[in-house]
Amino acid sequence: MIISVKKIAKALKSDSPDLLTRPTGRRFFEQAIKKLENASTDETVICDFSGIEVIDPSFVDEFIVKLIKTSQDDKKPFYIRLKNISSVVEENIRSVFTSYCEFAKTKFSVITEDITKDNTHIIGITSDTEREIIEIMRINGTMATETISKHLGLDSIDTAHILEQMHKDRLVKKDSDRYLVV
Amino acid sequence: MCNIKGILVIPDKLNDIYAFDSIISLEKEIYAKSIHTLDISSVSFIEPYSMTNLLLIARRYLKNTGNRLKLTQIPLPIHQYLTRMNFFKYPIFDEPEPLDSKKMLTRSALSKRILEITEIPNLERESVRVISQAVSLFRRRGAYILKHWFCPDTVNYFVTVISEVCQNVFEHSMDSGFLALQTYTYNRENVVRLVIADSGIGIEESFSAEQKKTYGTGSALIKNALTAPISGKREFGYGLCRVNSIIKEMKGNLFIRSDRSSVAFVYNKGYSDNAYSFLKDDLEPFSGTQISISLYG
Repeated sequence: MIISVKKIAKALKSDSPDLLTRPTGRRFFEQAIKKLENASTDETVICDFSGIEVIDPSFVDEFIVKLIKTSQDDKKPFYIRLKNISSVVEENIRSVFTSYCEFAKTKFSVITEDITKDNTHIIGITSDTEREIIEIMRINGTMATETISKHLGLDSIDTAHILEQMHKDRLVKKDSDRYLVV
Repeated sequence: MCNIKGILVIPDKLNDIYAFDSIISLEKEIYAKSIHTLDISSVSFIEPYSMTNLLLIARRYLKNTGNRLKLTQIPLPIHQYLTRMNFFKYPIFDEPEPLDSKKMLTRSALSKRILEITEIPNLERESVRVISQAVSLFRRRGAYILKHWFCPDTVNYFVTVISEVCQNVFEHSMDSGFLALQTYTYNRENVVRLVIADSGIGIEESFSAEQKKTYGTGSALIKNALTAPISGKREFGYGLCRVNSIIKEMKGNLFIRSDRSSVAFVYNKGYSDNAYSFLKDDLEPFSGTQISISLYG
């Protein structure tokens, strides 16, 4: 499923390239949730920001953070991939995620379609191992735990533990004993 | 400073954010000496921080007395500037004799070095609309306003800054505020200054007593709000942190004054990642929060 943020903006009668403030973020989140009613379980939802120059940290908190938290609900899990984000949008998202992680003492990140400023396809606080997994999964599409473990030179139990957590964080998909790229 | 009964002569201290503290010190004289008119004949230059705070002083006077302060002996260039910035658009000061239309500053493309004074309401829906309009206007003028600092993302950075700081007015201050922006040359230096100021409850009061105790002084609390994800309203906050990181990236200066405390982060004269920071407490009280963001080039 593709959620075009610009289309939501048009539906809300906004033609601005900037999505600003908490109230605006809340209105966009409500619209996105309505669209997600039609999504299947475990579907990848592409959040397309083409035509958008800036989303401020308040909008990030009300829209992207809430979408990610909703995706992590086990009742109807889904996966988010951000597309066409400008460099300032990327920095604002990273800033919010960093603050959130500092506050909540947890990891928080999201997959991106385009390469980010730090040459990965993920924004947020993650370990080097997790970033490496994201990148090899992008190349291979689907991999078994054992294969990933061998590639990384890690113990298979440790690898399974990392992958399980990444799956809970909706950074990789899972199909029985194999993991799939988001 | 009070030469004729009821008239207070304002010294030439409206040209700098730090010098404005001497004007704040005069505010109590307005009430003690039943001042109704400010003589600004000595004023040679007004920058946006001083201009918006002068409005706050007059607005407070209006609330307290039911009367408007009057400006007198306004030098022509100051009168032209204040008129151009829509200073008299708000019914706060007693409006002086309007300028002859031939003497008004033009509003051509070449004069688009500013964002005129804009009131940020304290009602959520209204405020969101005004912020959106201000940002939209800034987008139209941004390339010109920021021409000395231009890189592709500079305008987008400033959009983030305007939005986040303005939101704090309606989210935290419990009052309306003012926004103004101007680029100008002062002492052969190009300056762009964004000011967002309110006369609300101030940063310290927006935090709980327990939180205030943790940080000790008002300036320490403000400094933490700029560098750590703390918030008086939510579990955590990041708006001011992000604003600070943008100003750091752009090697600008950030100044916040709230009630009796102030914090200044000076990134344009620091070395590598370090900023000069100046924390002050026990200043003359001035209610609300006043933020000045400056770039020099």
